Amino acid sequence: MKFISCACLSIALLLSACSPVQPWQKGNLAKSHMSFEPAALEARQRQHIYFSKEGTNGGYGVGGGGCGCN
Amino acid sequence: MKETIGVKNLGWFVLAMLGTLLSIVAAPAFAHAISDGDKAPNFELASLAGQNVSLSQFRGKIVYLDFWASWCGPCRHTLPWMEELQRKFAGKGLVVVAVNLDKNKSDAQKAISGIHPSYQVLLDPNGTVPAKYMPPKMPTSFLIGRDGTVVSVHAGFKDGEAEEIESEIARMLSGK
Repeated sequence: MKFISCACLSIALLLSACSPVQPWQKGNLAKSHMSFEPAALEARQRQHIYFSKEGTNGGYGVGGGGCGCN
Repeated sequence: MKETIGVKNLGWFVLAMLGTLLSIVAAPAFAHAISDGDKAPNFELASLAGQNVSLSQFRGKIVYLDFWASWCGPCRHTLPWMEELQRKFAGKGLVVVAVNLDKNKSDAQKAISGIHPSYQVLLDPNGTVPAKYMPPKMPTSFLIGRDGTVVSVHAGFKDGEAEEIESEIARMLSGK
């Protein structure tokens, strides 16, 4: 029982370190290499080629998502 | 005799886990965000020019306190507008204080280099002042009255908000 109590206490203490990132602490998250597509122009070009090949459009970002509204 | 986990102990375990989860989820809610009517907490920070500046030294004036960082696009958008604000209302009793939250001073300098601000740019790389004010977004500005009380909080910066803030400041300066 002592072991379980210690384990619970440790988990509780470790979990208490999980706190949400505050708006002013997002400097690192805002860096370009943290985004899924760091080179916006290149990504756009790649998407354009893909759409031309597949005869499809949308599926990326806001330009016609899966909402079926366009 | 082998020890077993009784129902009572299991109950305590579940309770502890629930308490922990609650503390994680609710911790930010317990941190008091400064809002209208609250006394603006005092602080002292070094300015970009290297002087120590405290909020209390502007008591008797209306303070437009803004939190910004170079990595925040809308924040950079407000920098030239704050210069306009300072030029327009400084003679009438307004002080613009822009608290920069970049980790590196050079990032702040780079972001502000083309503007040559006449307003106060203060450096807070450790985020000690936002920890007191708890701005909900970046940028967030606090309009502080002559008596040191927060009159309004503007979270984010949308088109058309500049005029709204300017008219609010003009109203405060005229004492209405």
